[in-house]
Amino acid sequence: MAGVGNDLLSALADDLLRRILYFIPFKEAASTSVLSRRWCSLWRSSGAVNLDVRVPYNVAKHGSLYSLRNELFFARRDAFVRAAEAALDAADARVTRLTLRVDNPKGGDTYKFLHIDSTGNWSAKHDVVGDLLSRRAARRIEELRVAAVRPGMDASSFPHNEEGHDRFKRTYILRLRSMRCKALRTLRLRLCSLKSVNVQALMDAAPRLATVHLERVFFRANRTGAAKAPAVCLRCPTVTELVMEFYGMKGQERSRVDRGFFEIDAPRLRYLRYKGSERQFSLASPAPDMAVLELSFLQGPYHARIATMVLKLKVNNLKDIAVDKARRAELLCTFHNAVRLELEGSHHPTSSKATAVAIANLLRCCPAVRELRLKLSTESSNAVKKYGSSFLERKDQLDYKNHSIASCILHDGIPGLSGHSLTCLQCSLRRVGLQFRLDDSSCFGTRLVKFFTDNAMVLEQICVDSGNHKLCEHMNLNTERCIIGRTSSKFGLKRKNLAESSLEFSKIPRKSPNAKTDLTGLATSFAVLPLER
Amino acid sequence: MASAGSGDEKAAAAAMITLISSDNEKFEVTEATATLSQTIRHMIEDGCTDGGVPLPNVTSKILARVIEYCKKHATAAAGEEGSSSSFSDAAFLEVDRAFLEELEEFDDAFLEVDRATLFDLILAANYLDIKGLLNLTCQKVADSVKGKTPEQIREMYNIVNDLTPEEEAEIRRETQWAFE
Repeated sequence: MAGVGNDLLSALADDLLRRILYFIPFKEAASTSVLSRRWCSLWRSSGAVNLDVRVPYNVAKHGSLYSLRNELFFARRDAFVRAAEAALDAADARVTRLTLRVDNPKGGDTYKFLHIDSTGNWSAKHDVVGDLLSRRAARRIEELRVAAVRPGMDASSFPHNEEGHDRFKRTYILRLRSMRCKALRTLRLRLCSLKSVNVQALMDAAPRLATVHLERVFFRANRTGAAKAPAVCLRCPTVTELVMEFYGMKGQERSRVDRGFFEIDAPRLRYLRYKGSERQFSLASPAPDMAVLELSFLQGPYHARIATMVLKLKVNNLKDIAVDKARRAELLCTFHNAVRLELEGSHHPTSSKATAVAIANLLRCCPAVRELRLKLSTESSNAVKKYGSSFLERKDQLDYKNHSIASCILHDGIPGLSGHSLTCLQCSLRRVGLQFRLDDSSCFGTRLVKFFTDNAMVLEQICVDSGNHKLCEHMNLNTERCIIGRTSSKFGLKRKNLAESSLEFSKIPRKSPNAKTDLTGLATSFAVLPLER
Repeated sequence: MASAGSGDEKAAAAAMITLISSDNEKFEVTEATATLSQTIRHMIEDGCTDGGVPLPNVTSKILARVIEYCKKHATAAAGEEGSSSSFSDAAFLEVDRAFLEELEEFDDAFLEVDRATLFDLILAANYLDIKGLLNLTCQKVADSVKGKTPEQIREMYNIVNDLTPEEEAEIRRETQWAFE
């Protein structure tokens, strides 16, 4: 074969050789300098420094071997630091990418390697990563990756629960404070311990930061007050893609029920993946075109019983979770123990089918959901916040055309939602809260009310805020549910038991054949109540 | 003619571009596929793609592979063959993780080529300015020299050492940390 022993590499232009060197770990990259005259200084201008190191194995804790091994351990560490500094200083073109991979194949002490000085003084604030990041060459990087790698911890395995702080002593702390990061666009950290104030400082100081992956991080979060739960609150003004895999949060051990809360405000966020124990989770102001929101809650180790889990999703355009069957499994994970699902989002009157598919998808993801709250609006994201007040202002001005609502309600079923068999409708969904506007030509909200009253078999209560009392009249007229109409913007109906409700229903003249099946399909009675805002 | 081309931009989603390899073979691809190449994108913008785009530096064998790559990645970037028609949000598909995993698998399989083909792909990706493919192929070459001594790399790629022993010793001294 002519291809063997070829000079393919030499045929490439210098720029392409630099591109290859861009991906080569620092020592191998530097060693290419002796390949030939042409290669002498190519590696210095590749634009990347990829540091990698193996933590030496160091088990002996006592005896004569210990000090010897210890010396060797620190000698290796110091050699690595010197080499890494030399590699950074040798760069004669702008370094845009800096990666550091700390491999720990035999379970050595990563923390010791990175944070303990050679005198063995544990209180010393030695910081290998921080020192490297503060080198001149690291000041203009666009991409930073720092990863600690431990045996049995490849990308595919993730523990079933968050681990305590102790395990984290074996990895590293990233202080991030010393970092110059004006140019930073991508930040990927893996297996590290962070302070949320430091992450926040970095986000504030990096005007171009778009991609942040914090994988398996432990937050040494600050408690906001003595009595308050631990919290990680991040404002990410420029971030568009955020991956958060929690390993734990300081202070959560102390309150076993409350695992702290996680709050992010990311006005430009389009992609979010969250993994961690169930905890209060809040995402404020994502971008109007937020595309993917993926939350996976791991059951905490401290919970003997399955905790009540609240899943709050705010989606600006419900269309985004209206994926088809093939993609559903990939996109939406199943929340087996989600018992309360809150969904807030806007939809376009013209795309009510997409909204229905989105709701169906979410219900499918939560087979055990007992309580569902839907807040639907036809407004854009910013209006959602002011929703309450503008709602009240407008409700009196709304002028409904009765016939259009009537015709909607008579129209049976909701395309995209009806006809699916959803576990939660059959056996768990007991309470439904709906808030919507009626000025939507497709009467989607009204149809949702009808859908849930017809299909949720164990429904006990449905709370509706339609913004207008007219809904009651139509419910009375057309769905033949006895509803005590109120003159407020809300309406309510209470039933205590099946006997009473059947009595009530029996008084109502039936106009459509549907009503009969509706009634027999209901296992229990349900109440229609005003929704508390 | 150029003005007609730019005027139709709205309807260009399904427009086809003809690429002509160095051995005169013609490939018809969608514009979405072709514009993964910045080089071709600029040609389209300049309205000079009528009658086909000659690519004198790329053989039909390599061009076919490049098109295979572009087709797969264009689907990811633009949702060209998105199964759900109600779904037009291109960025959604772009960031869909499951799809990215599938892409990774594709990329791995795509790189299962002999070394000569790999280098031809690098050259083609560079000429056509397809960043993703260039990074992918360069990373593959980088992987091939990982953990190798300079002697092994020289042997592997037939690199003639034109340094004098003194020069080489001097370089080794300068960057001693790299050889520890």
